[in-house]
Amino acid sequence: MKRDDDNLRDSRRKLLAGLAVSAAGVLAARGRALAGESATSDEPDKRPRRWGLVIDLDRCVRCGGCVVACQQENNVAPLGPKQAVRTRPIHWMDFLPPALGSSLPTPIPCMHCEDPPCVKVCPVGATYQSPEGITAQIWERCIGCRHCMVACPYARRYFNWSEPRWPGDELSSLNPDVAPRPRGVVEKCTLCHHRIRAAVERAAVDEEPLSDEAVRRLPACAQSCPTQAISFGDLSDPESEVSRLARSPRATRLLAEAGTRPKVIYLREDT
Amino acid sequence: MKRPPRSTEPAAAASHLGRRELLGSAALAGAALLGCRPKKDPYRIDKPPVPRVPGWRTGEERWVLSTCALCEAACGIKVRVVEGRAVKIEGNPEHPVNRGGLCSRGQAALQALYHPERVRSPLRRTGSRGSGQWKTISWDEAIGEVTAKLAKLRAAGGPERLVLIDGETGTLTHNLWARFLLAYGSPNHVGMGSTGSAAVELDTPYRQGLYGWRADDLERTGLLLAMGTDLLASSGQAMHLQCASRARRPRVICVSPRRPGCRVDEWIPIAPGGYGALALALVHVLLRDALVDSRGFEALPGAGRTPEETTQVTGIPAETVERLAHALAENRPALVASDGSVVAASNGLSTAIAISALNGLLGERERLARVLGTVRMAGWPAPTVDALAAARRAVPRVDGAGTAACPFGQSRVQALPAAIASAKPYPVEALLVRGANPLATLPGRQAWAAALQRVPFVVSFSPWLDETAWLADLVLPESLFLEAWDMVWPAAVTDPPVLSLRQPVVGPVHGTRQSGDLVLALAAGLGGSIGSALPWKRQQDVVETSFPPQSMAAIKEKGAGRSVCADDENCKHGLGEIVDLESTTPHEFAFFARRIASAGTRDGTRSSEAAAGSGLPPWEAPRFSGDPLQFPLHLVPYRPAPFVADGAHAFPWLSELPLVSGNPWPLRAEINPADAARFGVADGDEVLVESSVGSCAAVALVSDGVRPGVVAMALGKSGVVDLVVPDEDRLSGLLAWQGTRVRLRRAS
Repeated sequence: MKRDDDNLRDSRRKLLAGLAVSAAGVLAARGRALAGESATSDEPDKRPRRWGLVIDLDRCVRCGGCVVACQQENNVAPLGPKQAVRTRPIHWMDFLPPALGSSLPTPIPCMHCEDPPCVKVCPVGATYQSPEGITAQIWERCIGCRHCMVACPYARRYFNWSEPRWPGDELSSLNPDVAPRPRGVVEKCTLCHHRIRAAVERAAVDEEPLSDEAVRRLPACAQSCPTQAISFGDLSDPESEVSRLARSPRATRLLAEAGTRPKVIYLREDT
Repeated sequence: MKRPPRSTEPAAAASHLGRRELLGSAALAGAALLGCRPKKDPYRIDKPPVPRVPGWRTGEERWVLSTCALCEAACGIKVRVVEGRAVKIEGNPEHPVNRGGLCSRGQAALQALYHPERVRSPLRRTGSRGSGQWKTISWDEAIGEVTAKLAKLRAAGGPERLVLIDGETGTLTHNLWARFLLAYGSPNHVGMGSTGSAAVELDTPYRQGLYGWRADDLERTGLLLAMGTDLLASSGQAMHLQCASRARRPRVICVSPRRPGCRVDEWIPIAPGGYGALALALVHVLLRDALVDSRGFEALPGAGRTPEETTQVTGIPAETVERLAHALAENRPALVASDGSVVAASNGLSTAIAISALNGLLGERERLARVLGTVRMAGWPAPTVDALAAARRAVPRVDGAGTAACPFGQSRVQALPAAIASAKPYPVEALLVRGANPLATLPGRQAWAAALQRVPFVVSFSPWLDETAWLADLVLPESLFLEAWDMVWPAAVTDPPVLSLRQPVVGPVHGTRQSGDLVLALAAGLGGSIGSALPWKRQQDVVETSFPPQSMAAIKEKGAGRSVCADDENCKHGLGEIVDLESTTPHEFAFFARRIASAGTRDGTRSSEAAAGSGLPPWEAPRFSGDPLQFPLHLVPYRPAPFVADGAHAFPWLSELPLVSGNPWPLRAEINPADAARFGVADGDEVLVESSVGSCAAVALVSDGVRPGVVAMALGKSGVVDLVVPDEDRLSGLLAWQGTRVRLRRAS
């Protein structure tokens, strides 16, 4: 009797798990379609793009321009002193304690890992890896279970503990290209996905290939950097600036031993 | 704005119509056919209201070039405006100052623009001062009230009793206010700019006898000795320095009590106020070891100061000084750059002289640092100054700058409370405050509050109901820089010097007015010689007509540009210009001596320093306020990267910048681990920092990035200024920010 029950329960669990996995797969695929990305690159003869960032710790003056530029571009509301005591404010681009041999804070966006642990644990397929290598998320689909926050070794995911507040006329300064996130949803760096799509579409309309020069300062963080310490580009293109910088002897990755293969590459301070 | 309703009508016909008109007319036709009025679209999204934007269309997007105003660097900005709302500020890639980059301050400016606490219209105080009872009044009423008071003051023969505290420099608006005071007859245009600008003002004119831009050629420098806490943190110089390509980047050695916020090759911790002694010790080693050509420097005062003698003051071991001197000699061209925190001590002028001497001895300063130019408003009609104004302009300033009390000062804002309280040399009858909040951003809050209570008529032009505005009689809210016209000459080093255009990005979000429009309205209201000195109608006209048209066209296109008219046709019509000082004046390194020896003060007396032989005041040890036994630590206030001088509360993103670990909101007291052990304080503890005049609560941040014996605290958060004793350097009139002793204990 008891054994039958167990068997039944087991098979039910397997069935549900299978359903969940396939549903997640379907949802992820739909997510990609919704996000406007083709499954392949724009040019069939080229390898699919792998967008990445290179951050030069030698050039960075720790002005925080990238942090605020990201918040303004992506409609991240400040939380205020009371919230900040209880939980960390949301900074897609953040500063973490000194690392990689520097004595200064480390600017850190999402690492956009090639093998992202956060994607594997999402029970509803809200977060996924785009064909161009961006660890993306569909806000509407997130159920706020925060498994991804636990899984991420870099703590690059943030939970909205409260409804974002835009007092007074500040709602006016919201970027119309990016949806604000409601309470109860996890959010993260998108590598300014909306800017990438716009650039790709513009290049398609002009019938010109998307050049490396055109995208080097594309995300808000890279664009604002006064010392041009942040570069953006296609890591699968050996000629791109990011690929060239990634071959530098100063190039290194955060927590390389975690095996996540981050696509954000740091350049150590010159000694 | 209503979204066009969906329609299935084919959109082939009427090619001259836009898609929008076509859809609209199709919908109307459909509605007419059905014989009913169009219903409210159930899917319609009500967009948030666009404040005070009359004409905008759905989907409309513009980019507007302007100039940031949140520090003196004046970076070019490019603002994205969608449907009448400013939604993103970016750096202007064509601007020579920032070349497309923008730091956190400029990025956060939209928060201030749309901040709910902005003053929306003029206010008149109805209760007693500080009661917080205000009545909204119209602009005509407000301006009428101010002009009536000022006219009365002038009619009584005391125009010098008007004082303007001005937190802005290097703009057309600042020049308009200066001209207003000139025509009105008051010498009391009291600057409240940053100590960084003050340092440049102290450095350049006294050394080279010229006022103007100074540009350091950092990309050609072999070794940069960066002095001070702020040079590599919050000033525009940091950006220029790091922008230089890796191959040409100079070796950077930073000397300051706190490790700078960016990467340097070496950090040498120094005791506050010890910069001048270090410079003299370096001079000594350079001369002793014959590392430099010493012609003409034999008579340098203090050159006999050995590194061993100065260790006491600087806290730097003698061997480090020797090594540094040899490094300077070997890595030519070498440059010593300093910021406001270096001269913000009781020995400010003598420190500046010592550093100047070191630069002169290294011999490269003339070639690396050039005085580039200055702006002359030649295009403006000659100011009409009547006899009363001419007579009253000549009386000593109320803050004592330029008198025997402060012979080499430009402005001495910290002397105002005492001058107002004592009514000497004359009482202040009217006080205007613009772009500044002295009550909260200067030490001596109680004295300031008491002084404001004594002035019969106080007007604040602040966009916020801040501490100073709270005690005013009238608040006439100025527009923010994103809503105003102006021309700015950047204080940061640009080569060649440029003028940078500021134009409204959006219309005024609330019922505020541009500062330039306000001064023009006041002048028009007063009429007579004042009205004719400022004949323009609007600030926009001043900006657009003050410079040659062809220069203006280029400036408008790129956001910044030059306006030099050496033999230009326009110069005959006398328009504003950048005067290229480099081409007109031979370079000389005067060591202040010439200037100081010839310096006659405004009230006719000659300073005792100038009278004494060499003309160079001797180097003196820094003076600190507070008993060293009771207050064993030195307070080092510094400007952090996201420092905003005025209205810091309006930028929550900047307060929330995670530049220190953990919760970024509370004020931090940064101390060395040795001091932490000495006072039994651990990282993250709540502590109380006390000086002889005040105390403030903070959270301890134990870090080896701070020299033992000092407490470093970021300016911009409330509390720090209350600790500072308002001492000053008597000669230069600079506030001694770095001259306070404090103690620290765990809060119980």
